[in-house]
Amino acid sequence: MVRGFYKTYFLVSIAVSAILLINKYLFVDFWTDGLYMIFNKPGVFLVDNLGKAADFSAKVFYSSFQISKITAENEDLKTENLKLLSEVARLKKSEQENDLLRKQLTIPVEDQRQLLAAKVFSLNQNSAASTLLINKGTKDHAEKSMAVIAPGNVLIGALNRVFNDYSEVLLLDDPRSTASVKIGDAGIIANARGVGHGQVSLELVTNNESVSQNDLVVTSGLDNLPEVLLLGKISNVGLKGGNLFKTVTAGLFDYPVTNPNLFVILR
Amino acid sequence: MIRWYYFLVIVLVIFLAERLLPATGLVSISLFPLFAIILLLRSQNYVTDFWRVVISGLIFDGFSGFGFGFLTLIIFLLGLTIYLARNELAISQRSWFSSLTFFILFVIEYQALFLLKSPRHYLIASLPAALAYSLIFYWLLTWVLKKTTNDIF
Repeated sequence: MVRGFYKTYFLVSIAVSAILLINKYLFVDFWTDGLYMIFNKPGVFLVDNLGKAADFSAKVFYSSFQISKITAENEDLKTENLKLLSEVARLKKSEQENDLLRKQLTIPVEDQRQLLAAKVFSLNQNSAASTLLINKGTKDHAEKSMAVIAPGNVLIGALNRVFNDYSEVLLLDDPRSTASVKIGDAGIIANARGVGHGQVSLELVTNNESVSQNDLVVTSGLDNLPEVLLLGKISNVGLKGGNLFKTVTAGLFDYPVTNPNLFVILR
Repeated sequence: MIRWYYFLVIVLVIFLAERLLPATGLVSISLFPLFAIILLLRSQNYVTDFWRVVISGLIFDGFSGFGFGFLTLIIFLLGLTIYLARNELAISQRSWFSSLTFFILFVIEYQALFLLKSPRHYLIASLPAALAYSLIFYWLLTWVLKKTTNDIF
């Protein structure tokens, strides 16, 4: 049995190495392209219906057991909605004044963002990685590091690996993911690093800087990502004695990702 | 030895579960490497089960969230260490408790390899939840394999 195993081990290693080398150098990405092509349509169907099933079961569950909580949340949402409507009105006025000043000073208008609609066909989340696969690739002008957002300008992540027809999105809570962010009204700059389970750790927030729970976290625009994209809210602020920086974690808005329709922001 | 059609069904169920579980927000560990560890620990025909695991692993590798080949390399390393442990320490002959202990050790080995590119504190932070899920999966899969193979569990 011993010699039989080592012989098999050697032969299987040769076969697998051949596949890996051909996939890397000869017919680049043929294996992954083939896999994703087979799984694309069933995957889109699965994620589409999974999102609907999750919404439906959440509605049934919460409406049965948490009626008073829903009523209170509803009132809070109405108040917040009114505040946001007045904010939108104020911003529209500022936008009009801005346009007028640009024309007066002959400053060109900023480019509008170009969005590429994409469908999710696979969610891949485990202890070490948090990614998803979408059905757009280099043929659709997608490139590595482009931002991926959900409806409502909520940042989901950035393109990590881009194939011909598909791309892998590195979600914000993946340990390999980092983003430059601004916190709260004061606009404190920090570095958001994924720590899994829909959480990011906000690094480089000094002890002097004032951050509190539920402060809004948005992108700062200082890195590759466009600015003012929503990330989440601060869930925990800690201070260890003797440390220069605070321990801050934020919960992401869109976790877990159940919306099958995302957008890639093209440069 | 597990029959090929049972193997195929279990792999398919695991593939679907790995695609569906992330939507619940409950995922802490990949299920396929756990299945590989349990199968290889208890297999009576190691060679056949090993190459089946590697071939299936090539499919799961495309959905691991890492570059293609990373998960396959981990499966190879696991396969070799489990084989050496079975030969040198005769773990397949031992009690269910020692089998469980070795299973936990191999899960820690798999987690450590998988998190090689991540900060060390992340491995320590993720281990308790990963082990809890692994134990639930161990009992579930052991029960399924008892019904579908002629191996002794």
